[in-house]
Amino acid sequence: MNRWWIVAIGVLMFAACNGGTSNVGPQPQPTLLTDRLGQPQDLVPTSAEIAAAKTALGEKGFIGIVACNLSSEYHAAVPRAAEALAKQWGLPIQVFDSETKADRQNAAIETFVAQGAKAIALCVVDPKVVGNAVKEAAGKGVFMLQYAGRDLAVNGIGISVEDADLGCAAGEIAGDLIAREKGGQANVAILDYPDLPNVVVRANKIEECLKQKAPGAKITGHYLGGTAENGLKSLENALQAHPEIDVVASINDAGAYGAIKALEAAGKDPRQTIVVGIDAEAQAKDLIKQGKFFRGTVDTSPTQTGEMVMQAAVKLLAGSTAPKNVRVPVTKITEDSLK
Amino acid sequence: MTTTSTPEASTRSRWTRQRVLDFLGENGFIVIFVLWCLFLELATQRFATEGNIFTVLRQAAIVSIVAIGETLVLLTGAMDVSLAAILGFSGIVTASLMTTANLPPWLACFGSIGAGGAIGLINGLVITKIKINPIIATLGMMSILTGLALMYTGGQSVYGPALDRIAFLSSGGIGPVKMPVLVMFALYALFYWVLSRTLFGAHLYAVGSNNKAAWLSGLRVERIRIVTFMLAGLLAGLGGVMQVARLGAASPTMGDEFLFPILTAVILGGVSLSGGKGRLFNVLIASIFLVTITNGMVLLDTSVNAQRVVSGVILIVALSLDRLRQRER
Repeated sequence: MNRWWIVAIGVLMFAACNGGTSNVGPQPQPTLLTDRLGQPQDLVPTSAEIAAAKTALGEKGFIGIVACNLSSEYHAAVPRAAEALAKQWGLPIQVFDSETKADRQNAAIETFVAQGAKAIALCVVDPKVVGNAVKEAAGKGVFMLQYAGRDLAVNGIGISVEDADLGCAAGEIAGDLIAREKGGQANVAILDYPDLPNVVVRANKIEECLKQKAPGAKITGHYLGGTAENGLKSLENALQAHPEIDVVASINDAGAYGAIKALEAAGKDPRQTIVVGIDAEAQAKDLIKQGKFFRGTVDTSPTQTGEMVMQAAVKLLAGSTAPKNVRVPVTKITEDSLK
Repeated sequence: MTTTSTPEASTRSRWTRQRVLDFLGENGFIVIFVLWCLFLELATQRFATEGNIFTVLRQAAIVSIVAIGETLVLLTGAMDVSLAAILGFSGIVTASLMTTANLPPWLACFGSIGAGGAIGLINGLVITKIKINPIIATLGMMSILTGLALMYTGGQSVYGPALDRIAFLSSGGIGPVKMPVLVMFALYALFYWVLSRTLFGAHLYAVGSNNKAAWLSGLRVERIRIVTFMLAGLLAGLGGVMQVARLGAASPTMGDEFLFPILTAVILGGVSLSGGKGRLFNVLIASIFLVTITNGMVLLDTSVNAQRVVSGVILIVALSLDRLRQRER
């Protein structure tokens, strides 16, 4: 008799659990518009959409963020902003640090899917490595968003500043300064980071847009940057080969900091030497205000990107209509704009 | 027409060949280093200038200082993969103590070096007392330190005008010889003396050559190993302070870039991975050699990607000479 009681209780518990799930209902499917590039305001959700997203996540679902790394200011700021907004809206979120290693991203996506992620926002380190994992997750109904790039937003929304836009903005800042302060003539070192394909686009665009603004500028070469140590070493070496270098354009601010140390050590005039970076880190802005060496940077809006990631996830989970690709605006930061 | 060789000539030829192989085996990478320097000077006319030589030495300084610690650890037959992380961590400690806690520079620097030593001590205790494999233990420590640095800084750099007060540790010096270079040579002289003239140095080699025999002969093997890890931690801590002085800022992953160069310098310098063998002087040369590869490639105006190819080729050729010697023996 007791055995029958246990079976009956088991059946009731199973029914209760199933009943809980069936209340959520089938996942509503969003409509993604591909006819235009979306703007940030297209992603702002209504309170009804936030409530719908909460329902879609259910009790165990969550939004996953696979960050490129958490060790640079930009990449740490994006998930931080997303987490803050998720907390405000009461949405569960998990963040994974890829440490800029493409192979770690595959495992992260698989783990998130297994744990019940309903939407995953990914900062792609290398699209070739992570492509299959993204498609597999999307095949299981998980919304795959991408930030800092767009090609792998398979079943979701791509939110990105364009690397070409970033590079061009930095190139234009440097080119304008060369045209205005150096009569269009300068010897330019470009700090690159060829490990990452998107950064190569950025570096090439720096050169292209700089040359448009200052055709007389000479590019002495592309050197390894990306970190302060790389920037410092590369510039120390480059200055031995090309002591005439008087402009440095870097694919990020970190490399530019190192370059400044090398320029200082080489005795370069801080008012006659121009350094431009990308990322608009706090340190970069402080240096720009001082007006020595560091003359400009490009704001990649990491906080806004993080917020847009969370807004886009809500739109997808709520089954709303949203643009497939959304552009994050970039802003040129110079001494004038900081006044 | 045929030629015949006498047994005497054949013996002499074998002897000469053996001598050449021995010489290359003992000094293989130094030969490649010298040839590389000659090539660079002939090809660029800029390599052997005073400015460039001191640039190379300055770039080699921090890696070579931390490599002393790795050499000491390897000589005992262990390995420490956390030294680069200790460097990064102590860099964050230095910068934070100076910018946030407003401590005087000397106190912040000694505090950071002491923190490095304390971490080394923990490594040594974990390895000798709990008997965890040195690579696993220090790998764990590396992860802990990187995580702590990231948690504390939130991924952001620590910087501020206060750090200018230790700039002399990078830009100060005697004439063109900057402080890092002076410190590097001073430490190499000191540890050369320690390894070749003191009982502790002899014990280090003995522990690495045969751990059990050293213990049976009455050496306090565990204590020697603990002291070695602590010294390595202190040197990595010093490296962190010097790196902050050099960059004027500290980032939580600052140490990451040092792991590969430190290990490469020590291995290229011929320190045996199984312990008991290795010359400190060769580690110094290897550290400088590694820097000249990148420096030379920039002087040659080659692309960043080509630099990596050539770096790999040079390293493989240099290490092949060492293997050649071992095979011949």
